[in-house]
Amino acid sequence: MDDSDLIQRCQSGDAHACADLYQRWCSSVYRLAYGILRQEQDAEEVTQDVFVYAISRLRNYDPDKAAFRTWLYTITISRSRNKLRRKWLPTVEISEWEESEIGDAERPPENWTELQAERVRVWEALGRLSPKLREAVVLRYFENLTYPEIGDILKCPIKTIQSRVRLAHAELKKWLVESG
Amino acid sequence: MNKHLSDELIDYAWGILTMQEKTNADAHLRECEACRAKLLQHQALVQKLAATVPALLPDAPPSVRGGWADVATRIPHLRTAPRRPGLPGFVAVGLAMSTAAMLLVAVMAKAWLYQPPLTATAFAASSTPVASATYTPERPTAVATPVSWMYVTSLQAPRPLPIAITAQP
Repeated sequence: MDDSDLIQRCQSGDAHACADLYQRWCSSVYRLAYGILRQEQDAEEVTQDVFVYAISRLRNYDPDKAAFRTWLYTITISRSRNKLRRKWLPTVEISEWEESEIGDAERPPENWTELQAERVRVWEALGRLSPKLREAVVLRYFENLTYPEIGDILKCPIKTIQSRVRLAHAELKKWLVESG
Repeated sequence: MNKHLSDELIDYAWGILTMQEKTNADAHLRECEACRAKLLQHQALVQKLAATVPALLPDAPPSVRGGWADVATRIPHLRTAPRRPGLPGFVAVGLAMSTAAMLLVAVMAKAWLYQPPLTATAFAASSTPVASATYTPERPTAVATPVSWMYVTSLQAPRPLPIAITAQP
């Protein structure tokens, strides 16, 4: 069943369809929220908030105005920003991050250390970006979204998105060169 | 040679340039080794981000994937039993109104056509036989008119009391 059928069933109040919709999209929403918030607990809370809000207002969603993914990610960005405003996020310790199991399973063991160190550097550099610049980079690469799609999600002109990408690139380059 | 490229190289690496801008940049890059070297640096960073960022964003943990029940309890219209997909409101109202109108027409037609049977027992207690006692009403198959109905009712009433009233001494 494609998204449009599932959404129609959800709009008519079918609880099973809502559960299916959640299962289909919860991981993408969680990953996006995690990329912006950088904390599992916060990303989990935001993911739940996003679906409570989205499914409660699904009857107002108009597929002619935006793709469902765009609509859902717009809500995710908005909720993540609210979360960032409400609390001061502590930075993630490198040692803590190195102990995590992010994406290691598919990597060959001999490359693990070098790869992990590179990821730590990129993760830290992304953490030093302002939230708006980080949003642009995360949206660009977590699902290969196009600039028009990013503009729709962030409610910004494409020129603004391009400007943020350019600034983010310059800062990331500086920090990654500094960190070796 | 034109002046060296700067921000255009970042835009080039990120795929932001328009077709015309990219054509102009390519023309410069063909002749300028310094800009080509810078472009390679920018492209290396973009490729690193493209390869690293998705891996930095983990899949949802089991607590999220299995979290639908918690989400559903916070959605008011899902707390009640799920509704079956229904007709749009205006269609449902239209159907209800047309059904009601059809029912009303059917009741009126039945009242118009129906003639209650007059049997002999209905007049058995009557002390004065009247013509209607032997009257066999027409069934609805016959064309009934208000006149025939009024005629029957006029024959039915007034009926005499079924008991004989005798003067007491």
